[in-house]
Amino acid sequence: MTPFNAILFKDLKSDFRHGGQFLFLPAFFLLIVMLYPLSLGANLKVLQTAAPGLLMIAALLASLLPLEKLYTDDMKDGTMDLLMLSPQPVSFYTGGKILAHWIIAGLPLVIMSPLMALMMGLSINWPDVLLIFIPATLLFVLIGQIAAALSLGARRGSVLLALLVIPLYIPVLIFGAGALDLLQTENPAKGPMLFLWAGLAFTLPVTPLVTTKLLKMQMD
Amino acid sequence: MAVFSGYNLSCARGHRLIFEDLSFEIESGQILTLTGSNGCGKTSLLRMMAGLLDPFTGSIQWKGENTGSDFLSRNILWMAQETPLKPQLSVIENLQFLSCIMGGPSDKAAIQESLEKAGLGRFSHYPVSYLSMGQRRRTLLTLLYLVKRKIWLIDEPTNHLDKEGRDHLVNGVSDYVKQGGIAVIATHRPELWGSCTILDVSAFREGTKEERQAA
Repeated sequence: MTPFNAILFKDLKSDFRHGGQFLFLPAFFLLIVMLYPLSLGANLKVLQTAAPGLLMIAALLASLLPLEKLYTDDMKDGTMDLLMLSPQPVSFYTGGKILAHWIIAGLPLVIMSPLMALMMGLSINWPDVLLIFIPATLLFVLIGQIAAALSLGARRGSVLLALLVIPLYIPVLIFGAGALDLLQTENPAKGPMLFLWAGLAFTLPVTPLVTTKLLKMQMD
Repeated sequence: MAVFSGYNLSCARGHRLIFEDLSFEIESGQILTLTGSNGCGKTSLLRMMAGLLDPFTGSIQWKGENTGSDFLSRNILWMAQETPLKPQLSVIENLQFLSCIMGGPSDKAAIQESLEKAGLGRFSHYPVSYLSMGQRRRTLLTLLYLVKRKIWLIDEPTNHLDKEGRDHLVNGVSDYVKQGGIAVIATHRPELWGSCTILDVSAFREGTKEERQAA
């Protein structure tokens, strides 16, 4: 077993065995999406116009939920001390943590996204919806990791975390919603989709390194 | 020249010095027990030795050279008072994870064997949430035998342990130092560890430097 796998499986097993906790996030996403038709009324045109932005906001809010506890448990119970004294690079830990976080908090949203788009009256091919939600959820996870490491140990950490992370999520929100909107109006959405994938290509290799550095600073 | 040593160490918390001008020297095959009243800095000194806390002044050395992060990660086994065991995972899964990140064996057979030696074999597939604090502590102490290191730094290891668990640990530490290992133990019961060097950290609290020099 490599350290990367050890951390990945530890996080996944802990989450799946924690009294059905892995269902909370998809349920939250579904509930938020269900609230929109109830509040906006039965006018399909209004719903279709607002749907791209609303879907991305629902995914953003759902992505905020697991951030606070990402590193706090490992910090409190001393796991982080052992990791700092591990002969393996700490970026194995952050890399495993990022993948586990996306499987728990991003993948369910990706799987649900075509159905949620349909619920909101959007007529977009499901592969296109996936091509938007895969980079968007990954970016939510990656940016969230950096913010979680930054706010670790801070008083009122959850409030600080939300204040830190929401402005950083705005580009993802704009390009994600923009791509969905263009596809809905049958226009080419290559531009915003490429921005999302380019953002991912930049953030993916940088995040484990930045998070590791921040965690080490928090331990000093 | 001592194998593992620290000179003129002081530890600051905010604007207060917890201890100052503290030095120690340990040879291979020795036990150093850190004693003293609550809050005198036993855990802080252990964390300094582990490289988890930078000394305000002074240095920690291995064979006369300052210890760096590479040395520490390959030679130190740090055992804090907290138990980094995840309640949802089984005993064996927790040890697999911790042993793996510490560079020890992660195969189930080796871990099961260590658990059998510690008298915890029948609990190996229990979730940690089912275990008492003492059993959790004993589970964690199994790591000492799984991960091979030159220096053990152990903080209050007998907390929550019954007599059987204490005896097992004392024998384990004794065997380890007989093989040339170094054990530094923060404890309120130094008498448990037989012929050990005792360092009273309270004697180095802020403002005592002149008293010590006069003595």
